[in-house]
Formats: sequence, C-alpha cells, structure tokens
Amino acid sequence: MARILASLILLLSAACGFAQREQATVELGHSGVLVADAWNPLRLVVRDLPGASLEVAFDQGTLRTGEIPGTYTVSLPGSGGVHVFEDDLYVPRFTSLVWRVRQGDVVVASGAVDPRMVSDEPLLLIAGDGPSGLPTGEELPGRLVHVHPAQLPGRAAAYDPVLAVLVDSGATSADPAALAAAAAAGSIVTAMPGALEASEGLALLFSGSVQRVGSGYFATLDEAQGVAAQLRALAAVPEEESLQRRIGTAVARAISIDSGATVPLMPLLTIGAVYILVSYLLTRFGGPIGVFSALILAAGASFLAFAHLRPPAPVAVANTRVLIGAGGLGTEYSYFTAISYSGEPVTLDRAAAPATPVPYRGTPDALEARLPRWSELAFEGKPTLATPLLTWRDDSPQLRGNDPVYVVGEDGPAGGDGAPPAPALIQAVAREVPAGTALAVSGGTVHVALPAGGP
Amino acid sequence: MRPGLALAERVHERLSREDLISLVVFYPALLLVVLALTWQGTSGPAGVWTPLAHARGIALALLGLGYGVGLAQEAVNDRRATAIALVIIALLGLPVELAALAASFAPVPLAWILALTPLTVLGFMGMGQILGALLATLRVRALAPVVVPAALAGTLFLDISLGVNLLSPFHAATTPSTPHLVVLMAASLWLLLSMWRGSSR
Repeated sequence: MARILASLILLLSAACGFAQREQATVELGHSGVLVADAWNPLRLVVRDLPGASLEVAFDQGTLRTGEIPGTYTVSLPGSGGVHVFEDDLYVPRFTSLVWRVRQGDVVVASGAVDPRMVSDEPLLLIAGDGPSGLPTGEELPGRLVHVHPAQLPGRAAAYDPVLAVLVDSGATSADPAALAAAAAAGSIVTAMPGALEASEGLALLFSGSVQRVGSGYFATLDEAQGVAAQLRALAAVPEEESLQRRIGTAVARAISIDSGATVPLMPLLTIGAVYILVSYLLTRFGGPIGVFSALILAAGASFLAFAHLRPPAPVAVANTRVLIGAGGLGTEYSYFTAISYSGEPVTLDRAAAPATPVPYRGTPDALEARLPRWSELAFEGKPTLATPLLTWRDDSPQLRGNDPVYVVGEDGPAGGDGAPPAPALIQAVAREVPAGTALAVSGGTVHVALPAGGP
Repeated sequence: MRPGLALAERVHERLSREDLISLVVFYPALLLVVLALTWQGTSGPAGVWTPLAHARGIALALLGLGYGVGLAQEAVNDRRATAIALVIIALLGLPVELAALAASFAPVPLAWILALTPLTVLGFMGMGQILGALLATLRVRALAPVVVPAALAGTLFLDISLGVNLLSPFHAATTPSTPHLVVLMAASLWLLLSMWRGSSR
C-alpha cells in the first residue's frame, strides 16, 4: 500500500512539474532565430499566471566597455487563464541575453540565448506548411528560416530583420495582411506559382511580376528560371544598409540638436570684463555704499547669468517621423535625437532603439535611456504600419494637404512652380532615395512616395 | 558713529588697501580666464564647470589660509574687516561661477555653491588662524608662505587617504559633501568666536 501511495505521489509531482514547465513559453525571433541590431518578434504565452511579467535582459558591453545593461519588461494582465502577448523587441549586439517570466518574486520560467548563435545577417523566411519544395544545394540570399504561414506576424517591425519572404507551394494559410505588412516594412515578398494557384487571396496580391509596396516589393517567381537565381537577383541591394536605415541616419544628422551655449563666448567675456571694472570702481571709489552696490550688482549679475545661460530643460529631444509608402501601403519610422545636459535619463514615449549601446530600460511603449552628460544620441522608434498620405497617381505625386511636394531628380529635389527651395530635411532624405521619389514635409513628418519599379 | 556704519567704513577702508583692491579685480578675472579657456576646449560649455570650480576652491582656500595665518598680527577690528572684505571678494566672483554652472548644467545644487563660496573663505581663514598660532608658538612664522600651500596640499592628501571629503576644497567644488560642510562651518564659527572674544577682552 505504501509503495502504491509513494508511486502516486511521485506521479503527481511529475505531472505538476510538467504543468509548471508549460505555464509560460517565450519565443524570440522568427522560429527562434534572432538577428542582431534589428527588431525581432516576441511571442509570450502564459497560462494561469495572473500578474506575471516578462523581463528580457541584455548585456551590450564588451571587455573594453564593461557591462552595458539593457532591459525590456512587460507586465501581463492580473486575470488568470491563457494570455498571448506579441510584440517586437529590439535586439542589440549582446554578450548575454537572459529572459525570465516572474510572478511576484518567483521565477516561473527562464531561458538564455547564446550570442554566438546570433548574427546580423538578414533572414529569408520560407513560409510553408510542409517541407520546402526549393531545390537544395543552391545559394540563397539571407539566412534560411522555415516558418508556418499562419505564424507570419502582421506587424511591420517584425520584418525589420527579414530580407525576403517566400510563400512556398501549398502555403494557403498565409495571411495576405501579414504579407502586405512584410512588403510595407521593406521585405521582398515572393510566392511560388503553386501557392498562387492554390489561394485566390494570394493571387490578388501578386498582380504584376514586380510591384512596389511600401518600401518593399511583391514579386512573382518563374520556376523555369530557377528560384534561387531570381531571389538573388531581387535581393541584390547594392548598399549594405537598408533604405529605411539610410534615411534614418540622414534624418538623425539633419535633426541634430544644437548643443552650443545660448550665449556666445565673446559677448560673455565682454560683459564679464565690464562687470569686473564696474565692481572695482564701486568698491574703490564708492565708499561703504559703493561696496554694498557692488554686492547688489553681483547678486543681479548672478541671477541674470544663471537664468540666461542655463539650457531650458535638462533633457532635449527632437523627433521626426518618416512615412515611406507606395502601392497604398506604408510604414512610419520615428527618429529621435536626444541630449541630456544634466545626465538625467532620457525618456521616450514609444518603443525605440538607441543607435549606440547605452544602458536602457524598455517597455512595449516607452524607453528610458541613460546618456553621458552632453552627449547626443540618435534613437530609432519601432516601425509601424501607416497609410501613406503622399502617393503617385497618374504619374503625379498627390499629397493630402497644401505643403509643397518635391520630386528627386538628377540635380536633387525639385518642387513645382512657385514652390520654395527644398528644406534641409528634404535635401538630406533626397540623397538616400532613388530618382523619381516624391518627398514632402507636413506636420513634422517626412512623406516619401517611392517610384514604381523593381529593385 | 553707529557701530554698523563704523564697521562698513572699516570694511571699505580695508578693501581699498592695495592688497585687497587688487583681489577685487584679480579673483573674478581669474575665474573669467578659466571660463574662457575651458569654454574653447573640446567639451565646450559642458566642460567649464569642473576646472572653474577647482580654481575657485583653491583660490579661496589659499586666500583664507594666507590671511588667516596673518590675522594674529592685526587689531581685532581689522581682523573683522579683513574677514568681511574677503567674503565680499568671494561673492564678487559669484556671477562668473553661476555662469559656468548654468552653461554646463553641472549636476551640483545651486544652494551648495551659494553656501560653499563664503564658507570656504571663512572656514579656511579659521584654519589659517590656528596654523598662524602654531607657527608663532614654534617661532617659525617666517615659513608661513611655504606652510600655507603645503597645508592646502595636505588637505588634499588627507582626504584621498581617508576616502572622505573632509578638508579639501578641490573635491568639494564638484561634489557636495556634508563632512566638508560641517568642518567649514565649525572653522568659521571658531573664527567668529575668536573675534568676538578678542573684542570683549
């Protein structure tokens, strides 16, 4: 009897242990594959863990710099049951990545990612229900990752590390909205002819051989010409960085905060010299009242100096949005430039990634970064899908609003008749986009309408 | 003449003497030169505060110690006038200090700067008075010009070896320190009490 009871207890504890392991699952990246220096999808599933939270902790430091911590924290609802949380997480180059799911002080699940398994090479997602029909042994662009079509996320940021998405034959469950998000975010979305024949929804997306959508493309493949060769041709981007990264660098440079003093040095020295002379004359020749007057002068000058030379706020943040669109779809990119005069943390009201490693704490919709005093740093906001306001219609750029539109030609951006010269921001972006791109600035947003055509 | 007016007259008379009237110009000018040189450095306005605060702390400590050592040789009324005159000179440099503090947005509280400037002069003057009495006892007053900077260097080494900012004006210039504030206040109080006792005798 005792043996039976012991066996039962053992069985129950094993069952509880199994249930415990399954209470929280975390998947980072597409099918668990992470790309460094890019936004990667995150999927968290918790079961019956009310008030649980997930913390992902990075160490971005090197042997030379020491530890540079970065954290991403998300709190789940206090109710029980199953909760599925999906977001996109910026993954910097790291020396360690650890995640923990907590409920109060108790760690329910945890894991780590080996930094040696992570590279910055973009991904080629093969979306298929079963084994890929792609010919083996051929060199494909990007790191090959197989995903189930139903798992393709519908968020622009999730496709930041994705060079191309290939919908394999028979992948009928691929969500057209997810593929549109991929193209809008800058990926090349292609489909095998078999997939288009099987799904009417997919066939509608791929109307031409190469069609620009957002900052990416929809492209159909001709099996007779070799899938790998066509993918390599489509993905042959001459520049190392993607279009949106190059635009981001240009915008960050253009919106650089003037960290200089509010008063130039020479007038300050002149005022200082006059002050010293006046206080000398008052002290030397003004008698006791003169000494008192010199003190009053010192108090007034101190107040004026402190009030006029102090930067208006301990932290200054400049923000510009860029909306890149084509084919009725677009992606909005936010670029921030911040400077902390006092060393106080810089707080941004949306998820963002610092351009260089600094200690930070992130959440799904905010970021707090610690910058050294007076150092300026650029941040890239999480890209989001948006409806483009500047579009091409009958070979003519159309913008909702009255702001001037500029078209990039060989001599730079040119406006229509009577348009003022292109502002610095337009000129900065114009150097990074292909000729024929329409640009406009409206309400703090740079609108980019890319021309039709292939890569 | 009312005592207050007489003291004001004496302070003005003391300030008008050649040594202190030069300091009325030299001390703010020194701070202005440090400000100008560091403003043009690689850090720009961001880097002006620390060098200026160090220059301010060392200058005021040297003035306080130097005049404190010589206090014993002065009449009681002159001692008071000298102490007040030195505080006035320290306060005349305040606009340059606050210009540097504001332009650099240094993480130092304004109240600390406002308190530290007069207390550094008075506190080190009190320490200088003790040092002067010691030199007189040892009959080595002639060594005062050497002992004053040596004592200042000693405060620096003492603080470094103790790991606490107790005496050094160098460290206190950029980081508020309660022990340093207490020492300066105690030394200032000692100076004022010694002057009061001197007048009552």
